[in-house]
Amino acid sequence: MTDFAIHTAPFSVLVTNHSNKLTTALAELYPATLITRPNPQLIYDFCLQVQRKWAGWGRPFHVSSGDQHFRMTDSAQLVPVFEWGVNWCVASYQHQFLAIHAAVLERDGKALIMPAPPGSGKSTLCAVLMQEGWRLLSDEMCLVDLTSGAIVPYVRPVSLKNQSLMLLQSWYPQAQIRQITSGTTKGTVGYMLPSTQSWAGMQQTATAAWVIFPQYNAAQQQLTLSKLSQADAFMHLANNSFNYAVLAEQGFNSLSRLTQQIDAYRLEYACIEQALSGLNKLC
Amino acid sequence: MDVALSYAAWLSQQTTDNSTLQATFNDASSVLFSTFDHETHLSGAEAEITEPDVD
Repeated sequence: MTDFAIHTAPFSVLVTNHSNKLTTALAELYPATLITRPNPQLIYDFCLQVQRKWAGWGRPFHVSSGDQHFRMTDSAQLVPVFEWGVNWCVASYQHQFLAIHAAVLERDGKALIMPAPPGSGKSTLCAVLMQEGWRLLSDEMCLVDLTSGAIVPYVRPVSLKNQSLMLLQSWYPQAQIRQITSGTTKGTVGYMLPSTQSWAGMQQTATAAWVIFPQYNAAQQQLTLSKLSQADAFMHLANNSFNYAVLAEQGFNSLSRLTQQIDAYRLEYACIEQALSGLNKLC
Repeated sequence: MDVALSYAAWLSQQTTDNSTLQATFNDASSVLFSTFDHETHLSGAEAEITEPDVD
C-alpha cells in the first residue's frame, strides 16, 4: 500500500493505492510538493481508491470513490484511468463551482475559455497556446467561483490523444510529454506537463474575457471566426456544464454574470497556424 | 372558456411568470430561466405570456 494525497488546488484528493507503478508515474507528472503522505488531520475533497481485486480477470485494478464504481483497468492503463477518475470525481461531486467542460488559458489576467466536444481540437489548441506563452488554468475543466465570478485554475497535465501527441512532439520538441499509453478506450493518450508559469500560478484566478468554440475542419480553406450572440454563448456554455442543472438558480446567475463579461466566437480552422494567428488578433 | 376557468388560467400564468428569471446581455440578447421547472430558454424561443380576455 502506498497511499498518498494529491493537492492540485482547489482540490485535495486522498488516494488509497495498491499500485507502486501509479505512485512512480504520478511523480513524473506532478511536482513533488503536490504529492504528500496522507494526513489524518485533514479533510479531503475526494477519496479515490485504486485497489487490486483478484476477481478482475485481466483488469485487476478497481478505481472507485467510496461505494461508487468508476472503472476496472489493467496496470498498463492505470495512469489515464486514474486521471479520468479524478475528473469524474470533480464533475460528479463538487458543486461549490460552476464547472464547464472547457480548456482555459490566461494572458494579462484575462481568461480564454474554450468549451468543445472531443475531436474538436480543444486540447491540441490548448497545448499549443500554453507552449506559446499563455498560462494554463485547465485543459478540461473551467471552474467558475459562484461568489466572485472569477475563473479558478485547476492545473493538471494536459491530456493529448493520438495524432495530437505526434503533432505536438514535432512542433515543440522541447515540450515534456510523459506517460504515453496506447490501447486505451480513447486510443493512445499522453500527458504534456504544464509550463513553469502555469504551476506557479495555480492559485491565481483570472477574469473571463473570451469564449471560443473551436472546431478543427481539415476541409476548411481559411479560418472562420464568427461572432455569437451572448445568449447563444450562454446556452452553449450551459450545455457544456457538468453541474448547471444541479446548481439551478445559482447556476443561472453565475453563468449570466460570466456571459455578460465575454465576447464569444465560433472558430473553424484547418491548421494550427491559422488558429493561432486568429486568436492572437482577437485576444 | 368560462370566466372562472379563464381567471384560474390567468392566475397560473402569473405564478409561472413571477418565477421566471431573465438575463439580458450587453448585445441585447437574453435568456430566461424558470425557477419552477428549472428550464432555460433563449428569450425569443418562449411564447409571449398575455393576460386572457375576461368578458
